[in-house]
Amino acid sequence: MVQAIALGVFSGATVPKPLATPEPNTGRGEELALIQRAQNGDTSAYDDLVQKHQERIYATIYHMTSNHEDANDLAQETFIKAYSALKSFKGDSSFFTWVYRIAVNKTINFLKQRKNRSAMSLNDLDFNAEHDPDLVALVSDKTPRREASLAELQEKLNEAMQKLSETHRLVVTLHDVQGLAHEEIARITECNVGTVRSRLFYARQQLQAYLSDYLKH
Amino acid sequence: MKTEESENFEELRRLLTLKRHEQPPPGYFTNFSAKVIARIEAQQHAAAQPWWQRLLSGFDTKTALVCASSVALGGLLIVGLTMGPSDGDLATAGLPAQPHAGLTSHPVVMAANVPVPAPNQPTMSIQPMSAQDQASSIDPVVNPDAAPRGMFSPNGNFEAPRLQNPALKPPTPPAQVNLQLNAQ
Repeated sequence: MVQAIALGVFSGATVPKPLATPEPNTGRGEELALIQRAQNGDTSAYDDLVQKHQERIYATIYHMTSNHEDANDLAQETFIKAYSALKSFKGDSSFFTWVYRIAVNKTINFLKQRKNRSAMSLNDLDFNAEHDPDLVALVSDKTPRREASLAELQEKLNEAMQKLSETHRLVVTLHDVQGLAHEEIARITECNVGTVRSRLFYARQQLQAYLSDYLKH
Repeated sequence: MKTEESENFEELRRLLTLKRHEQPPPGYFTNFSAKVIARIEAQQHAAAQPWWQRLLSGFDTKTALVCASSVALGGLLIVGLTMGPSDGDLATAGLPAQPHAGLTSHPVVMAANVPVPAPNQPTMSIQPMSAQDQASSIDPVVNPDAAPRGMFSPNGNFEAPRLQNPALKPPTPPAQVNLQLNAQ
């Protein structure tokens, strides 16, 4: 109820619309207050909003581009664009979905304008990768050096991801890497859930074909 | 079949978890929001400036110098074209006018009065010589004694300039042989 009232303030509508899918670990009312302050020009409030969403926005762009420098630039531009367009944020969707949409559109436009695929600039794997049970099960017994095998897997996986179209790569990134639900992806990409599912199925088939040498059969 | 595909996708899903372990350099997110806010405030500051300051800030020094040089060169070219002599100025100054102007300014009668040399015949003009020229060029021929030293004279003598180095003097003629012949 508090959220609905707050949204009504932002949108100016008499009947506020329901919020999007609730986000985990997020105080909705606190975020709405931050948004209101940021809309009034409080950059410190917007700083808090950026810190809240920066990792997921960066990760999404990074998995789409497989390039840290491009992801850094695009993530910064995403939040700058979001700030300049914050006045137009009506609260029809959550701030999380709204910023995600900006990031996705900006990234897809960037990838379409980039004629020649730039070299990958991959981030390092964290320490936990070597102990991830899913990855341990994938590492072949024929490779004595596990680190080298994980690095090779990382490179091949990113190469296969880059072979997908932008829309298919986006669905795989948001669902299989970021863990978003189909409905949330549909809201971000502004298409129906069936389209999301069919794109996901096709993208998985493509990846499976590209990575057949690295998957157990 | 469906189960097999799901299992295959399960393997793929496991492989895709590797992407979650790709992390940016340590401390990357520490200053990320500060950079974003700094860029936002810089844009706000730039937007608050008057239009001419924004225009000037868009120019860097090199671009400004190139533009100024281009404008100066263009101005000089325009000044040169407008202040330069026209065809009328050239005619009044006695300078040869351009071909199209010559055809219209010089009448055909004047061209007919000028003697035209034959195409294959060399032409030369004979000017009367001054007295000094006559003395210097005709005297050696008419009066060989007056020929200057080192110059060919028509009576077959050649007066070479006297050698200054005695070692290079020509050998003296054999005087004794002439005496013997005279005695016989």
